Amino acid sequence: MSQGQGGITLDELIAQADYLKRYIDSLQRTQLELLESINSIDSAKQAIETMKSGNKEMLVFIDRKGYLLAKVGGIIGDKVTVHLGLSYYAEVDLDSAIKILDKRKDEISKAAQDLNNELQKAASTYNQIVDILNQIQQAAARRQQGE
Amino acid sequence: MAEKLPPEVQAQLAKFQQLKDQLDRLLLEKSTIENELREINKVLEELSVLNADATIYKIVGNLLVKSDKTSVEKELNDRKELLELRSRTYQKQESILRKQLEDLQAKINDMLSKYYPQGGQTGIKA
Repeated sequence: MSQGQGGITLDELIAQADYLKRYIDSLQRTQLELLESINSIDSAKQAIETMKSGNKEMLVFIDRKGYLLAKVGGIIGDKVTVHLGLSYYAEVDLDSAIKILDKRKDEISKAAQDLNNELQKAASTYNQIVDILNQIQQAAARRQQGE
Repeated sequence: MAEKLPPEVQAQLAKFQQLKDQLDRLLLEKSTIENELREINKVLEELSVLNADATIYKIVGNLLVKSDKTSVEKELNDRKELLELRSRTYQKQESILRKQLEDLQAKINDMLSKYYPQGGQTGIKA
C-alpha cells in the first residue's frame, strides 16, 4: 500500500474519490427530480391560467406516452384538485390552487439551491482528489522512465 | 492493519463498529420521521386556510377517496402525535448510543496507547 499525502494511503484516496463520485451521482439524480417537479408545477400553473382565460376546449392524454387523447368537457370548471402534500389533495378555486403551487415551487427551488451548493462542494473536493491522483500517477510514470 | 491488532482491541473495534452502525440506522429512521413530520405540518397548514366544507381526497392505491377537512385533520394530528413520540424516543436512544460510543472510543484509544506507546496519532474517531 503506497502512502499518499498527509498520511493517507493511495487506496484510501481512491476509495474516497469513488465514494464522492457515487455521492455526486446521487445528488445529480435528486437535482434532476427536483427540476422535473418544478417543471411539472409550472405546467400545472399554465393549465390553470388557461382555464382562467375561459378556454374550455381541451384535450387530455389518456395514456402516459400520449398515444391517445380525448376531449374533456364538464370537468373544467372554476375548481381544480391540487396536491397538498403526502397523499392528500384538495378541491380549491383556481387562485388558491396557484397559491398552493407557488408555495410548493418555492420550497422545491430552495431545496434545489441547497442541493446545488452541496453538489458544488462535493465536485470541488472530488476534483482536488483527482488532481492529487493525477500527480501521483505522473510522478510514478516519471520514476519508471528514469529507471 | 487490523489483522496486526491484538484480539482484545479487535473485539472492541468490532463492538464500536456495531454501535456506529446502530447509530447510523437510528439517525436514518429519525430523519425519515422528521421529514414526515415536516410534511404533515405543511399539509395541516394548507388545510387550515381551507373552508370547513372543503372537499379533500386521499390517495388509496390508484383511487382518490373523498374525505372531509375535519377527518383529515384528525388523521394527520393523530399521526403527528405518534411520530413526535417516536422522535423523542429516538432522541433519547441517540444520546445513549453517542455516550456509549464516546466511552468505547476512549477505551480503545487507551488500549491503543498501551500497545503502541510510540504511535503518536494512533486512535479512532466516532
